[in-house]
Formats: sequence, structure tokens, C-alpha cells
Amino acid sequence: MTTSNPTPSKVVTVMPVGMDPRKLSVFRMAFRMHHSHQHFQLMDEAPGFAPDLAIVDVDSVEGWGAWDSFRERHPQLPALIVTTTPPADAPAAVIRKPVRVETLFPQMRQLLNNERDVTPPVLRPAVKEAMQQAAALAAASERQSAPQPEEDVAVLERPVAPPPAPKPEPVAPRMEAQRQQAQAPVAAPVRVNFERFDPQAGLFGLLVRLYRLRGNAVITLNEEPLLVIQPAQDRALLLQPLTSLQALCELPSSVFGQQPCAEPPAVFDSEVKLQNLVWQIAIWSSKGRLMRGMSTETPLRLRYWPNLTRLPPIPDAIRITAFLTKTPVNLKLITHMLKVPPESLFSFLAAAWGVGILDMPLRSGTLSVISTEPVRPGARPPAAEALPETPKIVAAEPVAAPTPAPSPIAAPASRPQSGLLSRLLKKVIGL
Amino acid sequence: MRAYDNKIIFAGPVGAGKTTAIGAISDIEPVTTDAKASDMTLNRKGHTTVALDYGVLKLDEDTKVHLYGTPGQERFDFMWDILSQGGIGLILLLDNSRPSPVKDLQFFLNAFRDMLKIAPLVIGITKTDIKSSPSIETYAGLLEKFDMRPPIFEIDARSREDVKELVLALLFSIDPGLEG
Repeated sequence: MTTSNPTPSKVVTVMPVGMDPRKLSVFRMAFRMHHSHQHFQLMDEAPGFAPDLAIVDVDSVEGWGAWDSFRERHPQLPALIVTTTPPADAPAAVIRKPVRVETLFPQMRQLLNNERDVTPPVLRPAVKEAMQQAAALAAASERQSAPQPEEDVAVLERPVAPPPAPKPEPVAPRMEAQRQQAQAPVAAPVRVNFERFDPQAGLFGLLVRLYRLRGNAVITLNEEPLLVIQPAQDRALLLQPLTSLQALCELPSSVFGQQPCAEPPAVFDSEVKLQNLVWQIAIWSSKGRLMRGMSTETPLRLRYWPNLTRLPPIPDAIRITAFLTKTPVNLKLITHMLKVPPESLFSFLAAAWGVGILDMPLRSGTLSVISTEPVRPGARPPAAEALPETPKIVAAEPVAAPTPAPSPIAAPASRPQSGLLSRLLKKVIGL
Repeated sequence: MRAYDNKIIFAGPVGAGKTTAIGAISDIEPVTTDAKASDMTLNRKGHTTVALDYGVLKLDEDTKVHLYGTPGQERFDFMWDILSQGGIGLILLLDNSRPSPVKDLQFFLNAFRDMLKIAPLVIGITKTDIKSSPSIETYAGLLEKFDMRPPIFEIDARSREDVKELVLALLFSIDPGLEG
């Protein structure tokens, strides 16, 4: 699909997404009433025209699924999101409802010109400049980036929610059965392509390299100190507000540098745990994208549990960690077994890799995966007795070592009281 | 086939926060059997648990999960075996401010070795604000040598969220695919 850069006199074709006829008619009316040097038209009124941008309503029954399916079909098309409740981490520019004509059209023009309305925090000129550069880069990337080559796209399963149930109506028994069948949860997952990011690049890449070198260092931005890291003390001194680092995660490696740190600065904005900083920067850099170099078949294992009570939260981190600490598994198996959103999984993997607890062999096969086939509900992985024996407990040993607990992927048949555990889980979550 | 006895065991040395942790999540006011400390415990706290702590998570009218806190002193270790039989899992709390928390870890793993053959372990490290060493990485590194990878979290035993995380980690350690 191609999108063209509009010229002032060009007709701009807008694709509406997630709108019922009532909402569509409101937009249609607004478009007809709007008169300027640039003419906007809805796509359904202009057959044969390729869309220049989209307006995605995420307040319909489909919710954010409308955005997901739109982005899947049109990964490069500029888009505005309209909603009554804009989230803090919206994936595109948002217009809060009620939509006002005087903001809608300027924002559409701005989007077409790839200018983002970013309100920067009060920052030093060098950081301001860098953040502007980040915004420009992001915009340029949207404008210029071509579709990813096939080998750079992971195809995984995304769990899908069952469709919303229609209002029940009096029906005959057989019709009722058919209706229930139609409403049954969707068993077949949707296959989705996912974007990648380079974990060696940018602020994240540099931070991870220095973190692993274990020496004190100053990270600079355009040759001005940005933050000081002291890995031995698990400490980072931020010379700018933590929140300002999020935008800097967009910048290329070339603007960052490093200097030896003889003396820590006397004045700084805040002090954070270095591991927490690496974890947070990983989340901001990943943005739910998969690390480059990781294939869907790559065996993954966590060396140990991250300190999840003190690290920036990632949805489903406990569940993912529990799986990955037990046995090497690949992405296909994780997504199939756990049904977690891939974006959470990818952010988690980036963060775990950043803090150095993710074993990810370069050559596939170094870690043996329990199976590349989906595990059926009734199947059971190696039994406890099949696991390698651990050393017996000896008083002289530094740490006693009992036999490992049973493998995590116990089948329902082997878990006579999984109902109890499920109810306990529900109870604890609700506390 | 393993039969659960609907109970979670909280263990750990004196002063690690077992009583407090149970109180953070229990549906009832925890039943405690504290008494004035009369031994070495006096150095760490005025009152201590001399029998056990008891709390409950009520799942419905008929189903409860019992939360047992074992007494911390070694002279009560005869109770640990009895308490731990049939437990869903063990939550071990370690007080980082004690002289040798790594030895405490070793001691309790040994004491509960029978239970840990069939039940998962979760470790909560308390009082890291008083003493940050050993770090989580140190504990994890020691256990990793024996191919043990239990959840190890820094916690504040007074924090319901922190104690919840321990229980959630315990449940997902049994079954990462568990759904509530």
C-alpha cells in the first residue's frame, strides 16, 4: 500500500475505523462542512482512493482490538485515535472526545506533515535538542520506513478474546445451541507480525554494555553528562528527570557517548537503582517489540527470578518468569502456553536480557527445548523423578539443595486440586 | 497424586516477619501465640511466636486456605515437619539484618527438605533497607549452583502487595498457566 505526502491542494482521503454508521455520519457531516485549502474526504465516499490517514475509534465494542487489527493491516498508515479516555501510552496521537472540528483538522494536517505535538519537560538545551531530534526521527521513521523484510518479522500467536455476546433473545432450543456454538471462545489464535528493535543500539544498548563492564561511567548526550552509573553499588545518578529519558530511548547511538567517572557529581536530579533503570529503559526501548536476533525457535531460559517486587512492572511478568525459570522454552511455546500478550512478553525479554538474567544462546540447540510442539492440556512434561538429581544436602555445603519441585506444566489430570489453586489465585489477585 | 491440605507455610528465623506477613493477607485477625521472649530472641524482639501463627484465606463458605507461621526458634523444629505435610508450598522469609542470612537459608532449606521435594519454595527477603547485603543476586547465585531457581523477592512484610506477590509467585511456580 502506498501513502502519498499531501500537498496543500491535495484531496486527503481518510479511512474511518471502528465506527458505526452513527459516528460515521457525524464525521461525514464535519468533513462536508469543513472548507479550507485542503479538502478531506471519507474513504467510503471516495472509492478507488488510497487512504492518506486513518481515524480509529477505540470506544466501540471492539475496543482496542479495532486499533490492533487496523495496525496489522496498515502498519505504515498515519493514524489518529479518538477516545473518551486517552491512555498515557497511546500508540498514536489521540483526540479526546468530544471531537472538536477546530482541533480535528489541524491535528490531521499535523499528522500528515509528520509533526508531533510534544510538550517537552523543562530541560537543558542539549537535552531539548536531542528530544526534538528523537521526535523527528520517529516521524521520519513513520514516513520513510518500508515494510520489514520477511525474515525480520516474527510470526506468533496472539490470544484473541471471544466476541462480545449479543443480547439474549428468545430462541428455539436448536437455534440456542447454534448461537452458543457461534459464541464459543475463538480457539484458533490470530497470527500477527511483530516489529523488532535493536537491543545493541541507542541508550539501551550503551547502558547494557556499561552495566556489564561493571565499571563506573558517565553516559553523555551530545557530549553533555546525562547520567552516571556505578554498577558495583547498583546505583545510577540521573542528571535529568527520569521521565525525560523515555524520549531519549528513540535516539540513535551516535548522540550518546561515555566518559570515565572519577568523581560522582555533587548535584544530580535523582538516584535510582541501576538494575531498575536498565529494566525501565528496556521497557521504553522495546515498546513491546521483539529483540533483533531472537527467533521464534530460540531456546530461552531465565537464570533466576528478577526482583519483581521492586522492578518497574510488566504485565504477566510473574507468569512468564515462572515458566522461563523452569525449563528452556521458545517463543512459540511461551505464547501458546501462557496466552500472554506478545507485547508484554517482548518487553519482559528485553528487560531480562538487559539485566543479564536471560540465557539466550546464539546457536540454537545449546539449550534443549522441552518441545517445539504446543503442549496439549493433558500432556505432562518430564516428571519430577526424571529431572536430574541435585546434590544431597550436606552440612558443609554453603546452601542446601533439596530436590526440585515438580515441573511447572502439570496437566489438569495431575493437578487434582487445580480448581483450588485457581480459586486461590483469583482470591489473592483480588486482595 | 499429591493431595493438598489447603495450607501455605510461612517459615523463617525469629523476627523475619512471618506473623506480620500472614496478617497482611489473612481474612481474619491472625491468631498468634506470642509470649515474652526469654531466650536469645530477646535480643531481636520483645515478643515472639512460641507455637504458631494462623491466618485464613476464605475462598468460599466451605473452602479455606490456611496460613501457618512456624515458630522461628530451632527448639520448635519438631513442629515444622507436622505443619508442612501436605502444604501447597513454603514461603521462607529471611531477615537480611541478621548476622548470617545465608546460613539461615541453608538451615531452613535443610529443615524443610522433605516438603520441598514435592512443593515449591518462594523466598522473601526482609529488612533490606537496614542491610542490603546479601543481594538478591547473591542468594540466587548460590541456589543456582544447585539448579534451584525459586522466586526471591525483596519484601516489606507489612505490605499486602509484597506478600501477595509472594503467594502469586508460589502459585505460578506450581503452574505458570494457572488462571483465576
